[in-house]
Amino acid sequence: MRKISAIVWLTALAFITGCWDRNEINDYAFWIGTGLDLSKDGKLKKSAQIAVPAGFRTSGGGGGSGKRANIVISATGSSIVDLEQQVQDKLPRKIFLGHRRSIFIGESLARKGITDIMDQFTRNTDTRMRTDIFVVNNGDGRDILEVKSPFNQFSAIVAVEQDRFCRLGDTALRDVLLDVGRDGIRPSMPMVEISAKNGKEKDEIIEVKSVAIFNRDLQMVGEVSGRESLEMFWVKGVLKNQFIMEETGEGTISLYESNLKKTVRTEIVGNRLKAYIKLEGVGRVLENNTNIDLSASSERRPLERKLNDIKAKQVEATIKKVQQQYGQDVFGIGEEFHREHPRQWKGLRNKWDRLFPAVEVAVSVKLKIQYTGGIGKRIPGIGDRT
Amino acid sequence: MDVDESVAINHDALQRILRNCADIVFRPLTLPDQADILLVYIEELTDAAKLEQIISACMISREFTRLTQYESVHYLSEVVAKVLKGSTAIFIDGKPFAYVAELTAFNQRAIAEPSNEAAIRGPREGFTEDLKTNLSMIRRIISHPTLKFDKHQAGELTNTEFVVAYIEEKVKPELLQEVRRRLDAFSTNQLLDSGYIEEYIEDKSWSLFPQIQNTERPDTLSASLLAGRVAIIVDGSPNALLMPMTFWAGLQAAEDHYERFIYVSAVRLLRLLLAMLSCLLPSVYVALTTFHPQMIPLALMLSISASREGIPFPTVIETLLMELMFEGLREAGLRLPKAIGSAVSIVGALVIGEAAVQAGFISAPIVMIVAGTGIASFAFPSYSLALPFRLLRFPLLIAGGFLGLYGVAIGLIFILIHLVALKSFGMPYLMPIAPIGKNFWKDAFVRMNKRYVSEQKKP
Repeated sequence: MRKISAIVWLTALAFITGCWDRNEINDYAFWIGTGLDLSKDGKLKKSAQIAVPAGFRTSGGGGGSGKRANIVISATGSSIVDLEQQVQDKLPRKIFLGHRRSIFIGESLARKGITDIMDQFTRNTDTRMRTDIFVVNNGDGRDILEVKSPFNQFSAIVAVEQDRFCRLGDTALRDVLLDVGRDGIRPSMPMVEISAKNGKEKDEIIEVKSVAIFNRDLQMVGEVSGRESLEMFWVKGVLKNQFIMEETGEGTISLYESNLKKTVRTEIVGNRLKAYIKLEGVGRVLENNTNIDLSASSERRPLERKLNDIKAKQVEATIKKVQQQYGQDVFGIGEEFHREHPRQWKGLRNKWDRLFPAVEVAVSVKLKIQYTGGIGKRIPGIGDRT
Repeated sequence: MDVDESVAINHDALQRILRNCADIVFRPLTLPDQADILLVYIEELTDAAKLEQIISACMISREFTRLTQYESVHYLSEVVAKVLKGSTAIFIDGKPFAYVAELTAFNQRAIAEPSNEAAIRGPREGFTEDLKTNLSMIRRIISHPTLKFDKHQAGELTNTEFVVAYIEEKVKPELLQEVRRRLDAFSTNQLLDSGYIEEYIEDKSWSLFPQIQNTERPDTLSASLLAGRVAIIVDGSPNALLMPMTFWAGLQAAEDHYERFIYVSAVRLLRLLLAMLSCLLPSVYVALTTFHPQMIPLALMLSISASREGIPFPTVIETLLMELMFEGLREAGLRLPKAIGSAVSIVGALVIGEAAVQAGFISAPIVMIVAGTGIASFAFPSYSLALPFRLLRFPLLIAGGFLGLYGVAIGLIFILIHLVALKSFGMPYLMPIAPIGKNFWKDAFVRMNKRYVSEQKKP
């Protein structure tokens, strides 16, 4: 009898814990992507890309016939959470943030500063730290959400996947927040833009080619794009692989570099701060428009040296550009000083924004050509040996 | 009542006891020297040719004892019991006892392949209903004097014989003593199958989990005896009992020790996985979709969500309905003649699987979940161990439907507490995993190469 009453009480105990968040899957509105913009009257505008499962089924079965599996809802107001409530007011289902994949911040808002927005992302437990965060180049977050990509029903997911292949995989909210919390590095975020080469592509293609640079107050101060953005990430240490094309003077040569690594040594000599950056990688030649026979070490070695010199100059130029134009340490060189000179760093940390442009940076590159492809010389001279 | 010297008195007494027993034959004979003889037997259970031989021997010389084994029985009640078991009683004038000879011969099922424990590799014979045949099968496998068969009898009305088998060298005396103690305490007036004994002597008959293994394979039984276990074989039942039983024994098939060990190890792991699935799959699905949608990958989530669009029932109810339907189908198909059995599966597959999804009553993932659960529950080598898993699925499903993964975890903890506390004849049910044994990994989750398992240590 005592046993039975114990079981009954234990069972009852399990049911009064208040863990009653049962909700059918169909009563959730899955929030896939967020767009944050500055409205014309200076208020915050939030757009939500919400999944419509019924549409998902029809297009999944019979080819996307222009019907989208999502809707984009916008609301204007002053705080993020207030906007969330406004979005909820427009939906028949409970909004669910657990599956949000990306956040797009319009450039105008980014330039104004995003401190007010970020607090909510760090505090609200609904936010996943792995959500990707982007700045929209010359555009609004909402525009990206409206893009109809042929690859995926949700443009918010397309941007995430695209970033994975063309830049660095996860630039998740987490990474940005980590950078924000440090003294010796300034945050950067990848930028997406709507590619508008022609009318057809206009609302279908997203491009990820630039990186937005932020200052300490989380205001966007500028951007680097293309090759420079890749170099920036390489120096920062987050790039895994990249394509490189170099003009050697006798023609171009293209490589696919992987196993990219960086090592930074720093030195404080009196008032001068010095950083020695060493970049390494292993490469595979993909295109050779020079007359060099890559299969011969005697010709390949000088080429490697030449490539390394060219690349080092380019990286130095990029760093110089960031130092002089924006003055923000997006590379994390300050963190390297912090690591190697923890005592001196205490004196440097508060004036780092002033010191960074004056850091003397020397770059050395060590790219190794490991695979030269099937042939030595290029086509007209196949098999020729000099 | 003692057997009287006068055949006529014995005849009267027996006829009083055995009145209205149409199957019993009283055959009075008068010998050439005027002495009376009475034969009492059941015609259908008696070998007619032998009987005739004995009768003619009596007629000629009154001497039949060299023709057959016999025993002299002095009590009428004993005579009656023996006759009812198929022996023939012979009363001769002037002898204060009856000759009882076993001239038994009756129709019985031939030895066939065990239908519930089929094996790809290994012996094909299974136990039959006849105790003697079964014992002979075991003796043929273990031809050693230390194999003992203790004969017992139970059931006041059925007078069923059963045998406790063990190997004297291997069995632990405490185990044997405990089995005997429980058998002594057990009394019934009917013993129709080994299941009757099982329920009386198992440790916790209220538990869902079987604590005594049953088998219809002589090779499995012999292997268990050699491992020091005790078996009970009941006349009239092709299922012998083995004790003590561990949980893992229910997940092991006979051929596990015949097939190559690497393959067996892989299959055992697969079985364990399927065992978990068979009780957890529906509840985890319900918990995830209704409480923790963030744990399902987005693409899968949206597919599930799309297929649930317009379904009238909540997921728990939906799953519960389908599970009940499936169990119904299974129960219906179990006892139907083979010809109709296939019709049931067609109706089930078409009506439930196809039509319900088409009509939008049930979402397609549920059908997959139920089907997966069904397949998983067929993977148990032991039918009696599959039953608790089948049953526990429902409370877990309800717990998962009300409390999410938290509820499933609570349910699992309850089950585990029970399993850990359970004992079978003094042996912990989860031995050798909990408590952990010295060579626990050699014959539980996987089976180690026989060369590296010492003969003594096998459980």
